[in-house]
Amino acid sequence: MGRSVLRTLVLAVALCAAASAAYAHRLHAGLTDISVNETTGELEVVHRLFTHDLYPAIGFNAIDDTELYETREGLLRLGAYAAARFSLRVEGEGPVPLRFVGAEPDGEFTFFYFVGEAPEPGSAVIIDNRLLVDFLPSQSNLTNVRQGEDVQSLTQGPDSRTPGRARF
Amino acid sequence: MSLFKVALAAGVALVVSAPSFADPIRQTTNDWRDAFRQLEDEDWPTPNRERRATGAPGPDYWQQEVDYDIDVAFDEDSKVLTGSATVTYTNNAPDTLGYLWFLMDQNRFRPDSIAVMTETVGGASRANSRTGAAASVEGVSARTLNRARRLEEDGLGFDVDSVTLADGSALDYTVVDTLMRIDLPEDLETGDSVTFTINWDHVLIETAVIGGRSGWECFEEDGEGGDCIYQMAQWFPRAAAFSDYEGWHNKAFLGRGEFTLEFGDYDVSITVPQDFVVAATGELQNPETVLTETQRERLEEAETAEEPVFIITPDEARANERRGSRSTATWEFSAENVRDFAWATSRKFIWDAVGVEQDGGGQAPDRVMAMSFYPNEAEPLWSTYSTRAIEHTIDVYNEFSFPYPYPTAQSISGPQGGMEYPMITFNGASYGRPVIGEDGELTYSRRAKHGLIGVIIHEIGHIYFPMVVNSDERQWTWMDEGLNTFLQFQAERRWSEDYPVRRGDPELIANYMVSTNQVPIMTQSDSIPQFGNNAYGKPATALVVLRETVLGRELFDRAFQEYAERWRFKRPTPYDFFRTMEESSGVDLDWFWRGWFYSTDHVDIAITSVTEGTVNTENPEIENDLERQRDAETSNSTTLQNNIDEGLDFYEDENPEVRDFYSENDPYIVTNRQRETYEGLRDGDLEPYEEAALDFDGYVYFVNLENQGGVVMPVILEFTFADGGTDEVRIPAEIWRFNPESAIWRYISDREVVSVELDPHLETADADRTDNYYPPQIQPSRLEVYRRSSGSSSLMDDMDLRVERDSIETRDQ
Repeated sequence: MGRSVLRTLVLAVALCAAASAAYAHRLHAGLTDISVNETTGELEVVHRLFTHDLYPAIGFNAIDDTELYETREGLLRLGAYAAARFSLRVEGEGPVPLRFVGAEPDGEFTFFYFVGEAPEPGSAVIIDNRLLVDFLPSQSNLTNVRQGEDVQSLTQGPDSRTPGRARF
Repeated sequence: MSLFKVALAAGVALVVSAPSFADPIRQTTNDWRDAFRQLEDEDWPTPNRERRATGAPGPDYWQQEVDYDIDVAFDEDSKVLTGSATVTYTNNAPDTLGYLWFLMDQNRFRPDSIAVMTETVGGASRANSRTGAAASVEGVSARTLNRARRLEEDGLGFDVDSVTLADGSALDYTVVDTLMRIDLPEDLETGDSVTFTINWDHVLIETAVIGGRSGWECFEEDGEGGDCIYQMAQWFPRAAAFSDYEGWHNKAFLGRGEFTLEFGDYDVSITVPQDFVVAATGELQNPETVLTETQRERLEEAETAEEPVFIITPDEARANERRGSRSTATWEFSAENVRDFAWATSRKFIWDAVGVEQDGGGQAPDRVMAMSFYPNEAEPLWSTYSTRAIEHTIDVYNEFSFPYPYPTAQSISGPQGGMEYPMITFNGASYGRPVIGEDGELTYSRRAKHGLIGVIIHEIGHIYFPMVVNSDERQWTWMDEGLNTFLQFQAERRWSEDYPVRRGDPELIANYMVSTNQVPIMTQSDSIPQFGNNAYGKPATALVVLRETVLGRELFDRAFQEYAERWRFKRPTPYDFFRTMEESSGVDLDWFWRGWFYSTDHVDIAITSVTEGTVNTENPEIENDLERQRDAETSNSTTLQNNIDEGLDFYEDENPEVRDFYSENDPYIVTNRQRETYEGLRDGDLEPYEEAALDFDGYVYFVNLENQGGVVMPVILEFTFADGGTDEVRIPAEIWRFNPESAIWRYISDREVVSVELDPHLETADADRTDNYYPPQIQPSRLEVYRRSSGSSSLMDDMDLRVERDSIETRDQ
C-alpha cells in the first residue's frame, strides 16, 4: 500500500461525537418511502425513524414533545435535521430540491414529510440516506422507491453507506 | 492499493429492484403456483419419537442436564474474574459421547477470533453497533481505533487453566474459536454422568469500548457518584446444547445470534469487595451473612407489600459509594432448572422489591419477588417504573403462556442495555437515565419513560422466551425475538391506552415487506440484513395478524399457550411451533407460514371490479324487458346518435309501406311460446328453493380480486348499501387456492350495494390501499393526510427559509 493511501486514511480519522452506547434490543433502523403521487404529481419523500433515536440525535430532552411537533419552531428543527441528511440527485443534472411539509409522531416512530418535483420518467436518481448516521454508527436506512407495483430498494447500513441509483 | 482505489471509485450502488430465487412451489410447465402446498413431509423434518407431527415433544423426547457448582471472585482493580466450576454433565441422549463441547463466548473478543477477524469495513457487528465504533472507506472513527487497540492489548477471552476430574487427573481440551471440546477419558453412556472441574479466568470488558453483553461502566466523580457497575454474562464455560435434531450446537459465536443452552441446577458463590451488592440468577442463600438486619426486614416486608419497597434506599446507596473496602464478602446463590446464570454487582445499587402474587398451579411459585437494582443516576425513573414494569410483564405474559416459573425476576441498570438471562435482565445504558442540564436540572423525555418500560417488558419477557421455552436464537432469532416482541406489544398495549407503540400494527410493516432486498424470516441469525424488521418487527406483526385476523383470539390464544406449555423447559424448533399452532387451532396455516415466514412476498390485494348480476327469473315479462334495457345501454353507435342529432330521416319512416311486424316489435317482445313455457315451468314440479329462486328480487355481485403482492391472505370486504347500512364479510385465505393471483367472489344481498372496501380496518398489512375500493376512490397518501390536517404545504416555504446540505442552519431565501 502506498504512502498516499496511508495518509488518506490517517486524515480521515474522525473524533466521532456519536452516542456513547447503543442498545441491545433497540435496533437502529430507518425506512424511507419515495413515490410520485398520481393525484398531485408531486414526488413524496416520507422518512420513518425511531423517536427514541431521533431525540438524542437532535438534543431534545423535554418531557412534553408537543412543542416539537405542534410549533413552527419545533417542526423547523425536525425538518432541518432531516433535510441535511437526505438527498436526491438526478444523475447528470443536479439535486432534486425537497420542500419540508412537516413531521408527526406515530407510536414509537416519527414521520417526516417532504415533497419535490417528480423526476422525468426514465431518469436515474442517486439516493443518499444518512439520517441518524452521524449519531448512530449502526443506523441502517432502508429506502424504497415505489412506482406502482415496482419497488427498488436500497439499504445503507454500517457495512455500506454507498449512495444508490434508482430509475424512475 | 488497487483494491482501495476500486472501493473509492465504486461510488454508487445499484438499487435492488427484483428478487431472483427459485420457487419450489411453482409449476415447471406453467406459471401457476400452489400457495397452499403443504409443508409437512417436504419442507419440515419427518416426525419421530422425539418430535411429533402434532408439534408436541414425543414419547422419547430427551435433553441433557448440566449442573454447575461455581466459585468465582471478582477483582475490582484488575477487572479480572477468576472462577472454578465443577460441572456435572448427565447424558440423557441415546448417543454415546466421547467428548463435550462448551461455549466460550468471551473468546469472540480475542483479536484472532472469527468475529473480530471478519468484521467488515464499518462493522455491522453487534459490538460495533453498541460502541459507536465505525468505519467506511471514507475514514475511521477514533472509537474504532480505540476499540481495535483495546482488543489487541486487553488480553480478552477465556484463559483456561485446567480441566480435571475429581481425582485430579487432567482432561484434554481443545479451544476452537468460541468453543472448547473436552475429551472424556471414556465414553459417556446414555444415563451416565461425568463430573469435572474447569478453572479459568478472564478480563471483563469495558462495555462502552468493546461492546458485548457484559462489562463495566464507571461514573464521573464530578456530578455523578463516581464508582462503577459490573455486569457478568456469558462469563463461564457453558455446556453447548446437544439436541436430537442437530447433535452438538457448535456454531461459532459471531456476536449476533445469541445462544441456546442446557437446563441444570446452579450453586454459585460470588466473592466481591465487602461493600458490593450482588444481584444474580436464583435466590440468595446467605442473607444473614451479606445483608444487614434492616435489609432482611425490608425484604420480608416487600414480599407482601402493595408497592415496591426500598431494600437499599437512594441515600444508603449514595453513602455506600463512599465506603470502599479491602475485605471481601461471598454471596451465595442457588438456582434450579435454569439454562444460564448471570449476575451484576456494584456499591452504587439502590435496591427495591415487591412480591408479585400468581397462581403457580403447583408448577411455579405463588409469589415472585420482582426486584430492581440501579444507581442514583437512574433516578427518578427507575424507582417509579422498573419493578412495576416487571410486575406488569408477569401479569400479561402469564396470561399468554404459563405462570412465571422462578422465584425472582430482576431488572438491573448498568452498562448493558437490553439483555436477558434467567431471573435477571440488564436494562441499563441510557435507559431511564435523566439528562443533567448546565444548571444541574434534570430532564427526560416522554420517550425515555416509555423506552425504559418497553425494554424492561422485553427483557423480562425473554425469561419466558427463550430462557424457559428454550429455542435456539443462534439459528432462529425470530423464535424468541419475534414471539417476545409480539408479547411485548401486547403488554405495552395494556400499559396505557396512549402507550406509543406501533411495532405490531400491520399497516406499519407493509413498507418493509415491499422492499426488494430482504430475506425470509426463516434465515439464520448471522445472515440477516435489516435485523430489526426481519427478526423482531415482521414476525411480531405476523403473530398479531394471525391472532386478530386469521384465527381470532380464542383459537390463537389457546394454540399459543399450548405451544408455550408444551415446550416449557424444553427445546422447540420452528416446526414444533408451526405444527402446534395448526394442531391446536384446527386451521391449516401452511399458506401463512409460506407467505410470512418462508417468502419475501408482501400483502397487496386489489379490487379490480365489482359487477352487479341478477337472477334469471325465467319470466319473459321480466327478462325480456331487462334484455331490452341492456341492449339500449350497450347499443351506443356514435354514427346513429349523430344522425339523430342532425335530424336525418330514416328511410323506413319516409316510406311507411316497408314497415312490417318486425318494424313494430323489437326482438324482446314476449312471445306466446315464451309465456307458455314459463307457465309450464311454474306449474311443474319445482322444489320450494327453485320457486324461491325464481321469485328472488335481490342483488348478486361479483367482486373481482387480484393478489398483487404474492402473500395469500383472508379477504375482508365491507359492503356499503344504498340505505347507508354496511355488511362486513371475512373470507378465509382459501379463496386463493385455485388461483393465488386472482379470484372472483360472489355476494348476494337483498339490498343494493353502492361501494365496497377491502381491508377496512387495516389489519392485513396491505401495502397499497389505492386499489382497495370500488368504485375506485382516490386515496390520499400519508403525506397528503398530514398536509390536510396541518394545513401547511411547506413550513420552510412559509417562513422563507431554506437549508443547505452542509448545515442544518436555516437561512433566509
